[in-house]
Amino acid sequence: MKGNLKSELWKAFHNKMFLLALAVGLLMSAANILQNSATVAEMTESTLRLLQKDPERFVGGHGGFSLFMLWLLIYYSLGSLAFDFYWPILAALPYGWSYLKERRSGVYDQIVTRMGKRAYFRAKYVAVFLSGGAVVGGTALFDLLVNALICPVELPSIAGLPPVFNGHFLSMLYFRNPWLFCLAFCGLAFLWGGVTGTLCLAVGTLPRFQVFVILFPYLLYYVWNMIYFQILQSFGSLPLLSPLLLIQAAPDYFNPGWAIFGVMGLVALLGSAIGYWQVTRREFS
Amino acid sequence: MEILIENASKTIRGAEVLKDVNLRLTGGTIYGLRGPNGSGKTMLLRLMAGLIRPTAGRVLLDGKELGKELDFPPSLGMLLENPAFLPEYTGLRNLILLAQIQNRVGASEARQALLDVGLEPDDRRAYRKYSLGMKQRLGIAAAILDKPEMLLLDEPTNALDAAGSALIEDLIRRERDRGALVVVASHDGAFLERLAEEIYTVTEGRVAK
Repeated sequence: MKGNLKSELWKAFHNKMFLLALAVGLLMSAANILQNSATVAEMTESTLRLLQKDPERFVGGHGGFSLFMLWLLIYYSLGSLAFDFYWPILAALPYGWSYLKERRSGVYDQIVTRMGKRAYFRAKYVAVFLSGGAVVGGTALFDLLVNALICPVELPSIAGLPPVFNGHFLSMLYFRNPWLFCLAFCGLAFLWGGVTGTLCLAVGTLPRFQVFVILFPYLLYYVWNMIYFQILQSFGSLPLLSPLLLIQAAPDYFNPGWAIFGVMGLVALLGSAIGYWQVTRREFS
Repeated sequence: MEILIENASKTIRGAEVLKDVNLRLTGGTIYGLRGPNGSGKTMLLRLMAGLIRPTAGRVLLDGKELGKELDFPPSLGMLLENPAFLPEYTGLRNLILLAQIQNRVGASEARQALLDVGLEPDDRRAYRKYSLGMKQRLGIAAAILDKPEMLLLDEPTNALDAAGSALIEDLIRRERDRGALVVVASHDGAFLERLAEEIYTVTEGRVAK
């Protein structure tokens, strides 16, 4: 297991698709950072103008435009919108396609005869999970750290129309220690990226081309999202149960911890149980 | 090492590709399988490798049933159909990735396996840029990499010139001399006559001596 895991991890982090996914993630973050720098410059200028014009009315601060409002998982910029809707593709892109590729090329036979199907599945699962998690969680962390160089790091104020409200997961932490709040959501983004990437294993060898494997988690989440908004929400005000949007730290609907971890657990179960069956039980001849 | 196939049949999507196969093969011998394309040679090799399970009958490896007591033969090298490697990596990197799985051999053995089949270990070209002959040689290098007790080769001289074929013949004999059980499938009767100690003919899924 150890040798195979080493081999799988090497492949997961030394391929062009991993680099492509990382580049696309950083591009989304860069778009957010550029827009933020323009917003912050504009807000700073208007604040300074207000200070010059009417110093007695100036209450200080940056009008709430701080890092903790402009971060990728909170703010609605062009970059963050792209990330919010397309992150499942980022999760599948690094290594989710590898099982189909290895099976169709025959490399799978070379590997499983050396170490068995179950150990192959375990190593593949870990490698797909870590590579997907690294890209999605890494993008969120990169955006937080680079934005911290540009945006004012101001404690969120309850009076300042904050994006996080009472029904949000870890909302108390947001107002007490926003850094920890953001880091916790970076960790959650890592987990979402990981479990979403492993959904690719569930489609096994059904698609003919790798592109369909890469798009599968996104399409599944898209349909799930539609069912949630078109059908489930008509039964009343439910917490957010759509994995596509649960990655956000301040979504429009409330996102209690049980909803986040419940839906994440369901996704992980789908990826691991069906993936296990596909990889170890289905005969491919 | 001994492999015993008892009354094994295999049906895939309604077609019986192997019919009541009975074979007993032992280590230190080269066995030949000949027959036309689609006769079932590759399926028989896949059955011995544990990649498919018989619909009826059983395959025993040193007395242990494949698919029940064993998932796969514990020491197996194979080249089935076409060589299969990751196209973006070099030949050496592909072999090292395979060697890492069992950790029985390391980078130096991978380099030696490449030299044994006439490939240059320091060739920086990715596998996808290899010629057909080079791909075939790499496939054989992967098969002998772990010094397996059981070696299954399907059309090992495909895409090789006369010198390459002679090199591979020598290599197969060396594997036999080491004590490996070698099964070579080929439609080239003359090649099998030169190499194999026992030859079986596969026709429409049936195996006969």
